[in-house]
Amino acid sequence: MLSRLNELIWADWIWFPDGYGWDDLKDHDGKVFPKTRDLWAVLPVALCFIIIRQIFEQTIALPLATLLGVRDKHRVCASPNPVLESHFCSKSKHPTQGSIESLSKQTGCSVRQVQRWFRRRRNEDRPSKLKKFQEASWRFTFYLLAFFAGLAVLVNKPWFHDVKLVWENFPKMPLLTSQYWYYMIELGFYVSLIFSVASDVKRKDFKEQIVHHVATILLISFSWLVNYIRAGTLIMLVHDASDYLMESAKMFNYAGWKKTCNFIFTVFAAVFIITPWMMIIYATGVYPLSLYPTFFGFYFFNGLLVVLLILHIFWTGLILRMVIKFLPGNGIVEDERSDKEETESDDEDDCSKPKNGHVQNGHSVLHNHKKRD
Amino acid sequence: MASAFPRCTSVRLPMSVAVILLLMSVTAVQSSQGDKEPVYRDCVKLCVRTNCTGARLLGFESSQPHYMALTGWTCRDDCRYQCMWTTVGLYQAEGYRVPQFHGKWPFVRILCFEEPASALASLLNGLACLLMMLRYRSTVPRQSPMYHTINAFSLVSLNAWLWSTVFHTRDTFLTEKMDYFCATAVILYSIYLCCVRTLGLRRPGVSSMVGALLILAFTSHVSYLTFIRFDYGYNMAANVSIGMVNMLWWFCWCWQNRRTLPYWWKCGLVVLLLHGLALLELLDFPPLLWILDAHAVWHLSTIPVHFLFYSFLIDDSLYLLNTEKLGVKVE
Repeated sequence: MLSRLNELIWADWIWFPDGYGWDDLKDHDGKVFPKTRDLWAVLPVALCFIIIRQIFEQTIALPLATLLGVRDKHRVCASPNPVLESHFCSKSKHPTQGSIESLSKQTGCSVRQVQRWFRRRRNEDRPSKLKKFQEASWRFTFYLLAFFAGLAVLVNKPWFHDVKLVWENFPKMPLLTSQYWYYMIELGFYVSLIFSVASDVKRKDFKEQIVHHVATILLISFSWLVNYIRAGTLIMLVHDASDYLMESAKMFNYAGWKKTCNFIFTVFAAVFIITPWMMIIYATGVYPLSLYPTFFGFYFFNGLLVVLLILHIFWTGLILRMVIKFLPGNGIVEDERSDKEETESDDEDDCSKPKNGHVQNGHSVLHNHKKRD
Repeated sequence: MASAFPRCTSVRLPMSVAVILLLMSVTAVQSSQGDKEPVYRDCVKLCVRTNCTGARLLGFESSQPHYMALTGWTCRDDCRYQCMWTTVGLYQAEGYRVPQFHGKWPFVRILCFEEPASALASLLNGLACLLMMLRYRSTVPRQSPMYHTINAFSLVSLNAWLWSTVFHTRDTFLTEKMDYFCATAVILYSIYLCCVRTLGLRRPGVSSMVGALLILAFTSHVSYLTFIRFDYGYNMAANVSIGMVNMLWWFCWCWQNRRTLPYWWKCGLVVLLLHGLALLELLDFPPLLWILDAHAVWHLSTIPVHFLFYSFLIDDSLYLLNTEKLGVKVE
């Protein structure tokens, strides 16, 4: 039964165009082709990345942070209150209006004071700028090295200059050592990202990031199996081209270097938008239609690429919104995707003080506590 | 005369009709009179030999419009299409009734769409479902007890309509399976929805068990059809049976509650309409203008039903929320 399932899932007619099959990918004449068991190498690579990342964050990122002047804003802590704390931990971090009213009765504080307590408590849990800087610098280093290494390896290949050549001699394109390492390292990196998703800084676009990572891992692994490696390396290169710029912009943002951050961000936006995504999709989605009749694998891979394209467009939208925000005239720069630090007013009353109906005057105070990340 | 086997997807039919259909379906298979016809077979052989080999094939593939290639129309498929019309022409000239080919009537192909009317109708059904899902999400607060279940139901329905559209655009081994399986999934989820509404709100354990049972049934059903044999007769019987369970459960519940729930008639009407309209499937006739057949008419007629069903769901969810707030026990 299981072998029938196996046969059905890995059938030739699903994964290859008409007339080709898994037999075409067997090693022969000294030429090496990608094999399923090669993918096992990803696990030790991912483990290495996790270890290297810890070392990097402690030995390089921390001193760099101090050098660039990354400082955390002083946060007002919520005064300890066992009743509210237990509600925060066990029930909800964002209590409903009804819960706030009942808590207010229980603790003897005003509704406004309860709301403020929760706001401050939520802010306490937010990751520090230093942690965000460490994460961004790790990713920056990886993408920088990956992009330039990939560029060095691909610049002398004929299919770098004429995209259609990715399908030349398909499926019998022999595997090059550089392609093997490029694939394994990228795949290992994304797998390590998935492993560390629990401890990483959670951003507003968390769901989109997960979808992106899963789609990327699926694309890389499956394209390895059916020898779409030439197309795969081009796609990864295009992807990395803008990523290192984005991470460096974030690093400068956390360090407070506004002008540098804005400048790099604008460059990043330009690169992100003009990278040849459409050319890639033409090469994988349109051009092969004139070569082979369609098959399931065609829809599977192009479907995943379209998912990535949609995510790309979504992030382009966010980026354009940010670029507009810091055109001259608007001074604020923040990471659109980071959860906003909720504004604080300067009133220092805690729940032990008696209630008094003072009016909140926020103007000058808000100026000092600008939303910043 | 070939047994006209109706290609039913989401089917809920009264028992007697179901029995008749079952008897009819036992003899019908995927090959019909049309494609058994020697004229048709010779035509296809000749066409493939001349147009679909060597240099002519390359010429075909490079001159084929992209949307045709994208939807999987091969040179052989084109040959079959042309020869089908040749055969139909011959039949009509000699005064015979229009034959079926591979279990289906001959349809005019519009652009890349194999059954344009059914594909359009499926698309419109999907859009109606999407529209009403968005309306539900904007009208009903998240705290309503049935919110997430109904959300999930909408997604399952949308998925089924997507595959129905794809299947009617291009009938292949994979798209047919996806259409059939997703349609079964909708009926099963509808049973689950009914269970949650009638029993699960007070006893969540019961609805979890029923849910597990339904998942098991679905997995077995799909496994049988995939790994053992794709039996159209069995598929039809299975869909009919669960459709009956679905219909009876909803109908009994809303009839019992006709005095307490002012909007009960919406539910009753939806159930009656869906099953009545499904009878349209039985009127199997060659497509009018070679476009409109009974299946397409059925799909077109069920579009307004979505609006009524979701209107019922919205009323019900808001009612549940209100009774929950007041602390009244939910029936």
